[in-house]
Amino acid sequence: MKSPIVLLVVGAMSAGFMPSGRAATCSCAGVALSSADAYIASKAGDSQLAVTYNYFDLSDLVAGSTEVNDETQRDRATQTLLLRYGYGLSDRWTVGALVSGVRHERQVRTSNQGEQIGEGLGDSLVTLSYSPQQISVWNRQQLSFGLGVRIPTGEDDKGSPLFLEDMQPGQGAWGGSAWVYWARAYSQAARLKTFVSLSLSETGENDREYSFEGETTLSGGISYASDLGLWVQAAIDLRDADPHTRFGGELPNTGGQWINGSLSVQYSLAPDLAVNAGVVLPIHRDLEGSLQFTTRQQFSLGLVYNIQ
Amino acid sequence: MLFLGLGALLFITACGGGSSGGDNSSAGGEWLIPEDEVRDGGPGKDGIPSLDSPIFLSPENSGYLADDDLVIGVVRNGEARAYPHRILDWHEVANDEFGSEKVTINYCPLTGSAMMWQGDLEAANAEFGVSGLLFNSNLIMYDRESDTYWSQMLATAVHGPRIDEKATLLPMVETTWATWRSLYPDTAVLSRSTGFSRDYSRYPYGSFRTDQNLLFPVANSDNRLHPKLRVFGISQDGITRAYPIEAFADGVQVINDVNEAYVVVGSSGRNFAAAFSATLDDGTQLTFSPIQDDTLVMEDESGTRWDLFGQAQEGPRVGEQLTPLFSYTAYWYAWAAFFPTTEVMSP
Repeated sequence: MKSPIVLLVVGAMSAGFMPSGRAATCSCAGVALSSADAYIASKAGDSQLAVTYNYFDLSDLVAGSTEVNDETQRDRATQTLLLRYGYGLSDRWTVGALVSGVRHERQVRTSNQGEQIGEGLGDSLVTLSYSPQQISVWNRQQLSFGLGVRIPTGEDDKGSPLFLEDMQPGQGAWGGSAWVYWARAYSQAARLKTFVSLSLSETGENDREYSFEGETTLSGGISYASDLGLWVQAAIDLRDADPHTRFGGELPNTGGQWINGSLSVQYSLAPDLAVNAGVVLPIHRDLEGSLQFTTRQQFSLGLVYNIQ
Repeated sequence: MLFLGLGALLFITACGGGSSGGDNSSAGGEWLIPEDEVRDGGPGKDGIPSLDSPIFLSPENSGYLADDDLVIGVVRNGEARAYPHRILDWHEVANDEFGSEKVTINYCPLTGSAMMWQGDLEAANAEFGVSGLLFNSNLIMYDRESDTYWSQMLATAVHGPRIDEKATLLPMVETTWATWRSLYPDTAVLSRSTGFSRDYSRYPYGSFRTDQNLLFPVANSDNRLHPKLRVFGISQDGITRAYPIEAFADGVQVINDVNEAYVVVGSSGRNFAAAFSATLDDGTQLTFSPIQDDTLVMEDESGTRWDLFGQAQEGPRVGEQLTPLFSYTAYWYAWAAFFPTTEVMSP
């Protein structure tokens, strides 16, 4: 199972800087890498501050593509809190930074052991994105490219004895990602848009020779912005995650393919302030190995403040 | 905003209040083994569910087993039972009873080691469960009476109220289904109706049984043999030796170590090994020769014939019992991790 923090971080990395007030949709086991509409270019001198809370319910037990009953009644969840700042270097170049807090919870309800928690400071990100085309009155297409570096600032020594990597707040390894995003508007007001994005990520080994390896996500969707400050987006994500490795060998029952559907809404409380919420649900999954716990559902709430 | 703020507050509050949640074993106190070498396997305590009410089938109903499937074979009070790896790969512990005798059959799929322990005679709840922790990549169990943690391959309590106590090992044999069935045609075999939704036709660890990879670190790496080679290890009275199962003769082979006064009997073709003290309670030291019989495996100089559990079944010493050595089959990498001074023997 993919570590939530890994994908969360890379997902947020992919989000970049979004002056429009969009929230990053972070990711987790079985969930898309990032919001497909997360690559909107900035304006020179603008900056943005965003806080996002995510809840990942990881309680589905799946054999290949078949959900099976979990008689151990295991609950597995991850919560994340992301603080993200972005700054427009120019109308085409944007830099971003993100810090995270992560809390993993695990409990087998048939056991005499209580809930186990691995929580603390998560990894951090720096991103750089470039948008040679942006949607405007005269241009109905956007094209953006991005690169990100994940910095292993997170705690990865939680638990006594030490938790497995997927219960650690931090990954303990450097990582990187790259993405491309293309969108098309259907009017000058650009209320209706369709988009497609592709993102890739790779992760190094931590000092225990464990790696979450890489993944690829292809996303597509449609969004609509109303006159009343309400914005709605629906998207489909196809995600392929490599098996994790330790000592260079693949770990069984990690990695796989997921198809997820997501619905996001955002409401502008003021010209420079917006709240948003989202849900991600699995549509189909085909997971490596014989049994994996994976995402049942994901929810997010966010607040975005634009500084001009 | 309020909703978001509340969510964030809940998160931060929870972060601040979960320090005790970092305890990865519910029994506090010291460890007999280096704590920093104890690993979280991932599923959590009881995340791999033990079998606590196993159901058995007659051999005629064992169609899910192939002849070369490995099983743990047990005979208690004249009753033979087989516990297939195919099922124990998913459960690791089976708490069972032979009449009033409580036993636990434990098998670690990562180290390929199987044992049968006597259930705790003093405990109201003699059962063991899977702790979710590993030492040298090997199963750590816990007992449900005292919540003590037990290292399987050391057969010792390593954490908790009963720390440093030894488990009482009972004789068992690891072999193929075909061999076991030929030895004990009336054997019962564990049913797939375990109460858990597991696909017992699938091995849960990919290519682990045959590849070179380890899933968890071990304290000592020894590349004299392939890491997953199955060896029959002996560790007793300062003797630590490993006999590769595949190096035994195809038929039954007996190795008499006269100096150390023990005997090893094994067969690569029938896929088993066992080791016993060659000295009887009265001080008589025996030497053995192999017999190629379906049920009996060796004969001593008196003409007494012995079975795979070290019981005299025919001849002048019928009814006598050889004392088993501390011995079991495991993957080489795991045996070498626990017993780094092991001498590899060539039968």
